[in-house]
Amino acid sequence: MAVLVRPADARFALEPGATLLAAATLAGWRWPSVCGGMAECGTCAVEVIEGSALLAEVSPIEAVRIALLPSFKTRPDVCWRLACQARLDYPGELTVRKPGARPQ
Amino acid sequence: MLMNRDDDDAAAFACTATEIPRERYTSRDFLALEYDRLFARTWQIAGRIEELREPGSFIEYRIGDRSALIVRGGDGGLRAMLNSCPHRGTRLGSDCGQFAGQIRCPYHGWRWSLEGKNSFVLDRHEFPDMPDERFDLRAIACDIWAGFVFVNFAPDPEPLVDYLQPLPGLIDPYKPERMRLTSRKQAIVPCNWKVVIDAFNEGYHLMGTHPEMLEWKDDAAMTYRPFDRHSVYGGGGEPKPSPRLGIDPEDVDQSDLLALKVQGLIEAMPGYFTPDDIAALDELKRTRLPEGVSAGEYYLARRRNGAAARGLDWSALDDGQVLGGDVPLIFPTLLGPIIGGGWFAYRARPNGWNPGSSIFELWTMEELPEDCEWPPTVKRQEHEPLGHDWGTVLNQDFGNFENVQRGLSVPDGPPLMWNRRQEACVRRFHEVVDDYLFGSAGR
Repeated sequence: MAVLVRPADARFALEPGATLLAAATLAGWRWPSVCGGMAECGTCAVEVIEGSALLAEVSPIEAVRIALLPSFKTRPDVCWRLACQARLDYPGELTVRKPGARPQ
Repeated sequence: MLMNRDDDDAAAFACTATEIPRERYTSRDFLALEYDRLFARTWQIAGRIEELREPGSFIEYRIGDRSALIVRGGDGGLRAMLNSCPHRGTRLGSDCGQFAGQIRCPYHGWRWSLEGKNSFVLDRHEFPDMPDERFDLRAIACDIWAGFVFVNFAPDPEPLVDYLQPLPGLIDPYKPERMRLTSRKQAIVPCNWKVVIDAFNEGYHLMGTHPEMLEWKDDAAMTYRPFDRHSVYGGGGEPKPSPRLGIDPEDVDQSDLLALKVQGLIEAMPGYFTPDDIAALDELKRTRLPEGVSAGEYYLARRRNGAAARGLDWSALDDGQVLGGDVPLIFPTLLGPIIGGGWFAYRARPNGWNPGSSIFELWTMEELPEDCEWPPTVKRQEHEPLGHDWGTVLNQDFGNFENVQRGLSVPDGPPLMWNRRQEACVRRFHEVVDDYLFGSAGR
């Protein structure tokens, strides 16, 4: 089970129950985030390109923050998730887009 | 100009090179010093010139217990006078309005010309010891810059143009004198007036308070220019992700960034962009950029062309001023972003004798073409409730005000500190306050 991240075009492992941000950090990745994973800043947000159904549902706190994202406002049709909140519910492969996320 | 910094008050309240006493924000004694030594002798903005177009139109400017009446005379001149009848002290005008040819005291019916010269005293012969000039209204210094009406309660203040340096040279290219109010909202906010000024006088709080702006705003690249009294900060026009996110600029599309910025600000700061800016954004989204033309270049040219089509002359503005603007502080009460075409200005003043309360105002302004007739002046909207939707950015700043004031009021807290570079304008603001209160010897 892994996440393919664009435009870095690299993968990290993601186990069910883990958030994208926690798994990326565990794998030694650099990931944009300034609030420390508290769903406060929205800077960790990703565009989920494939596999969005594998993720647990959006919580109210995550939904509030996503609604404030400039990216959500310009492209509301895209599946936006906060990496610090989105947990893998079902095993499988995800593809996301996140400029600034890369292995160190 | 001022006394030496040998005052006991200075020891208790003055900033040092590294520390800011919390009592500056919470002490009634400090507020009294501000009223007596700062607001009694500094130039301050009383209103906009468009509020005073007709002979007899007036506005009241109140700061603490002081009150000035600013009146458009029958001769077209603008004058400020002490808002108090020389007979029994009665206030002669409140808020704003229109005098019918003369100013009249509601108590004993004395009257004055719109220029403040006494024209009627009931039973004048029963005041035999008083010379005629004692019946006139006391004049207060009054002048105009950038469409703002300024007053100064000091008897013989330095000229406004000297006081303002170097702002006119930096701000006049925006033609602020041709800007008119599109909205004017007011709220009583639960914090000291300097908490409000501090809040808008740096970009260091973007990460904590407005993190969604980091996608397109390079907060670390903002520049700060503290002058002798006023300041200007800003950050160029081209949208660029904050380095705090670690995003390679090549990984993001410049058109997307521009859209994020403009669309984000249209919603987050309502009134900052004009309908033409919104049209320009739509065009940018729909247009295939010509070979070799960046989205930034296209948008810049589109903004300039749109302004020219509306009859605005932006030839004196550089590209940064057209795209990003500046954030000037007109010491001590007004600051906010100005950009080609408009100004999003915040004003903050103390509210009476409670150091933990202030009067906040948002003035949105747009530039009018040279030959355009001046439209009707917008109404002042008083006392918006705190829960009012001011747009995302201001809502976020408002969220901090009460928390800051409550935290400052906790007894025995250590002195505050400032970021040397990004809070340089905040620091200068406080240094200038101290110059007025305690003299400049300590700096």
